[in-house]
Amino acid sequence: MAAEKGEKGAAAKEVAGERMVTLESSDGEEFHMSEAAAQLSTLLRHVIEGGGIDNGIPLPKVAARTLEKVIMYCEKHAKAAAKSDSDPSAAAGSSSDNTAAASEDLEKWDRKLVNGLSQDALFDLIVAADYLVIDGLLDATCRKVADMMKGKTPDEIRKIFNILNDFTKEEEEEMRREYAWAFDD
Amino acid sequence: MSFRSIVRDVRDGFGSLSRRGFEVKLLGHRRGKSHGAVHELHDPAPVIQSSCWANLPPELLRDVIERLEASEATWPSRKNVVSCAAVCRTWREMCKEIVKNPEFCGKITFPVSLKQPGPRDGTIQCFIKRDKSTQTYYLYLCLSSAVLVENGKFLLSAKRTSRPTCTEYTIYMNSDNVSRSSKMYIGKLRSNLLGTKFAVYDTQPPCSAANVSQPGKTSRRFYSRKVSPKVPSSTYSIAQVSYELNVLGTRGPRRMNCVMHSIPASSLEVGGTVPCQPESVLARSIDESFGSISFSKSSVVDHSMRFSSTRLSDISTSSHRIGNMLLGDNDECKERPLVLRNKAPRWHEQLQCWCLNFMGRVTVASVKNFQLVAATQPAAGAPTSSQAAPAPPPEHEKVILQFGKVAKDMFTMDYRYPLSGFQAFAICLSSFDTKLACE
Repeated sequence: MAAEKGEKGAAAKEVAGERMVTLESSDGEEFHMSEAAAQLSTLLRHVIEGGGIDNGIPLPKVAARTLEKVIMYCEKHAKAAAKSDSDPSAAAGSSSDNTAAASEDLEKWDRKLVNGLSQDALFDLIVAADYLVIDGLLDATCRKVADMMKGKTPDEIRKIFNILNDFTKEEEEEMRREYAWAFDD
Repeated sequence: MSFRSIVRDVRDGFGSLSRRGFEVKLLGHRRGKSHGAVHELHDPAPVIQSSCWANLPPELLRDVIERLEASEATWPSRKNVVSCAAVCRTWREMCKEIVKNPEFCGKITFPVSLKQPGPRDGTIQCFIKRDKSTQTYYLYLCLSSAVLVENGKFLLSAKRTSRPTCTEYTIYMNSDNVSRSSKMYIGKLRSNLLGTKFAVYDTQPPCSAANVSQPGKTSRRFYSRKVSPKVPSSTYSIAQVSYELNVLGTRGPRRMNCVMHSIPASSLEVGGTVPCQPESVLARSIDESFGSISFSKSSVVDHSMRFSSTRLSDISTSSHRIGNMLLGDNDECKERPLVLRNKAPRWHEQLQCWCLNFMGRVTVASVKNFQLVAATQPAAGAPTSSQAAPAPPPEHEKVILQFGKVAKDMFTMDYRYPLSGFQAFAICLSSFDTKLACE
């Protein structure tokens, strides 16, 4: 494909030999992302394949700070995938240790990404990952939320997530008994 | 045509790809306000969810809870699933949808799991500890496969009380000794004076039209309740266990016969099920100020009034009729109940003892040890005669309940479909009490 360098606002630019796409967050900020990274989002992949994205892809449901994280995730994973594809020893199947270590590193990176988020940011990231259909990111964020619930009492979970207790008094009774039983060693 | 509209069309067209279903709710964006605050609405909305997390799209909430449930497969960490189910209604419904009954997953999750049939594949392995000084028995879920290791999750406890004409074991959902009016009381076992006939009582009716619920629906609201506040709680006879000597008298193992009124014999057939499983382990708590109770099916209330004080002698002669009446008008339930008999041990000439293959789960010989299999003869409701039973078809050789001693005051109990943990425990307790002398 011919590079469309120099065109202002063109989305299908090439930067250092890589095709880029432009995304616009809900608060009007522009972001650039390699096409390879964008492919990790099933939604974006279809938009790109559909063509005609020269003026950028608007994402009115994703705010800037969330989009930033999304792009970080996608770029990281796209690079990792490219690396393992281009690694000849991986193709030969002889470096299973390497690929295992690499994927472990990637997992660590993912965990660090989600661990560094505030609760609100985490929520926005889950919703964005779902909306953009990025399975790996959805996986990592949901796992984080599940982890946040472990070892917590219902009240603590409610506090963490700011959820209102909407049980009736009778239902509360039943919850208490259930809970007492579950924690009865 | 603007590119925005193309993108919108593409996005909407691929709605099925994206699992999201919600519009951005106002709560999600009012980050500053929502954090920790309950929104004050001036219209009379009954219940307000207070933060963006409470509005997590159902598919995402499900994803998260599914992960939690899958990763907390064993106790003690499985308590996290119970915690989750106690957060709010939405979460509870989601948890109840995701967690499978023990029948299908072989796991105990909620207390109600103890009143649901055990797994069709495999067994649930438990152990019972006896405390002679306090006459209390504790049932635990085995957490390790080694038979003598006392590593378990507490399930139920039973307190034995001797009365002038009978012995009673009251069964609770907690391990502290509490009285019968306690909210943790879930059923009991009562024996006759000789310890040869026992009745198992459940605090919940075994079957009512209201109990035939669709999955996920909280129909427990409509459980019928006994009205009189003076009687501590109503109980419903769900099974009878009887012991008798075999043809060899005291020189041979005794014979056990269990009639399970709440389980039809058809449950063991292909496609068979146990109907009317409860959604909650406890009947509604007794509350004397509980003035008006909504009864959706008054016929069940009548039954409860009739049977709450049934004497054992009444039960044994009219058990068949009781079985039908307790199970209501549902055609499906007008069936003969499941009858369990103990598997006959073989006499081992060399060892000079009676032997049963307990698959390593029972290691100390005791007259209390038994294995229960389904009887294939039609149940007459009365204890069997002493003639030999014909060889049962292969599927009925499956041991549904196995109980036996492994150490002083320690016993294993393994059960499977269609028995529930509560029923299994009650039947095992009867084995402690029976006074048939045996060499």
